Amino acid sequence: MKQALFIDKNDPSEFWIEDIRGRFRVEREVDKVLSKKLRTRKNCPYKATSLETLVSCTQALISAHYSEKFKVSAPRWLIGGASKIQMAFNLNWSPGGNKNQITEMVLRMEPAASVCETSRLREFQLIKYVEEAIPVPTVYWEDSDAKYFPYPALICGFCQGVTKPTQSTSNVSGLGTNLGSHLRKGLSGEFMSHLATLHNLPIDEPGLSAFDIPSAPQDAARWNVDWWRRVWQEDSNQPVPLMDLAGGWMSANLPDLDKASLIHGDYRTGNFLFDETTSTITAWLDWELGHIGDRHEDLAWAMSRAFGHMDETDTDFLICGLLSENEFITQYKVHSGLSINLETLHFYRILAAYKAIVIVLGAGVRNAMNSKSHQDVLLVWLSGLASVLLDDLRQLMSKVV
Amino acid sequence: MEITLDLALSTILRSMTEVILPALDSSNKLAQEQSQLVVGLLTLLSNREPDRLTYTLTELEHYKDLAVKLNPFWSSDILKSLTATAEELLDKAKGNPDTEVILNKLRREIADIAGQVSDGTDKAAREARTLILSACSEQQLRERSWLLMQGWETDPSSIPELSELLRLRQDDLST
Repeated sequence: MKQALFIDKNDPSEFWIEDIRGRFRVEREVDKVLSKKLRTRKNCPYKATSLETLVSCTQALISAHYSEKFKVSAPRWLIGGASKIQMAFNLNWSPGGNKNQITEMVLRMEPAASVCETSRLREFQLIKYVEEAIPVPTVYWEDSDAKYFPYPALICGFCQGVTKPTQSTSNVSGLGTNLGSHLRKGLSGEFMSHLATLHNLPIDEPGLSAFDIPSAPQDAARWNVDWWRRVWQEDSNQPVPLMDLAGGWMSANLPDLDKASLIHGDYRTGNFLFDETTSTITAWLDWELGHIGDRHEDLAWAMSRAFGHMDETDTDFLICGLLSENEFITQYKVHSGLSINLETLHFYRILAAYKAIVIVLGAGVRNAMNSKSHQDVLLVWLSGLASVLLDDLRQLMSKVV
Repeated sequence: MEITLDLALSTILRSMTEVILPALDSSNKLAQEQSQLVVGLLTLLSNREPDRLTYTLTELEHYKDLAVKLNPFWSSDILKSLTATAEELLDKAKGNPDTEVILNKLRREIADIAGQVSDGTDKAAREARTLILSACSEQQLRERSWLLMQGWETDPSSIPELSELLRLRQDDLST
């Protein structure tokens, strides 16, 4: 008879952590943050941090890098994401010896455990690297080892713009945003051209030292599948047979990589700011899931049913509320000059649905159970999205098994 | 489905006590008092939720015993019928002390099988995959209906009412 071994995921043993690390091959920095998450899971709930404390920590971090006089003022909370604590503030300083100026900035700090457990160092490096090619916030300083803040953090510039039309409504985290036909026309071109630019940037750069570069043909897919299978193993509460079916199928059907690209990892409406009057994208946000991998991953993620809606005539599904599937694929090819392999795209659509379920149903619920974040109530709400995502995953899987 | 009452209550309480209450205008006495009452009631429900089923069964047993004792002195057909139904329910409940535990074990076992057959090429593996995917479809529809008011569906009108889906399932089981 099979002997069931009881694993307490809320109090993981070192033996279990090492076993998991051995079973799933992920990038070094990903392994580092995931292992830390498990080792600090027990008895480390999120401790509410006041604006005053965050201002003191911000001053300490800036002082370590900037020796002139400065002043932090007007601190205020920001909302919008499901994973990080965000505070906007004004910095009165004289950068580069220039005259005194006020720069609006944003602090992004992790809670005790995040719905997306990621590296601030990687986020910092990636934004810094792409800033001349794509509109992004300027990154200033990072505290990836939590030397100055209670938890790892980074500071970047505040960007003007909105994530959804001022008069519109949407669900949490910008999901289900309807941009309307006027904005749709203006934004879809930049949405595609920025993605194409990102995927064509060189990857072997010294500034990206926290990223591993895939060398074997299946490395990119394997690291990615293993990343999310590992998080599901670490965080899931209720077993879901469909997730085991999909996980096993993906591991046995890894596609080869034809060109390694920089991947945003959460490329969708809700993660860019735009100017409502000019219909232009002012900044791409949330680079924390970025890595080097297969361009099909970003395409597949954007195609998720969770990020789009039907058009006004109820005939076409609009990817990210912007383009029909045909337009999306055609425009990507035109802008990037890169091909799309439909089999590979389907594999990554399965992975996209799987990853989204891991985030909302696995990590989100586990973190809320352990009081790990500043918005556990939002994480519980967000777990309901899994019902739609699981249906997507079932439909995608039924085409391949 | 993970939106359970105990998890929802505990996170709502944290949100109330750590974020919302400290931000309330201290001069608004009505809002202050009512928010404290909200916290008090939620705390009560949250603390008692783990014992709720046992409490209900204990109360049912209590009244069933009382009905049995009353029977020689003051009886009615309705009381006799209800006593019999209560005994039946209590017997069933005692035979299944923890539905959640058994449900989770069953899900785990089926999930393990799903992982094992995920890429098998033999007939048994293919059949098992088809069965698992088909069963997912039925269960997912119930979950989507349960959560419909959250607003995730692109076409909410395509999702049947939960009560209708539960009734259909019960009808299937009884035929």
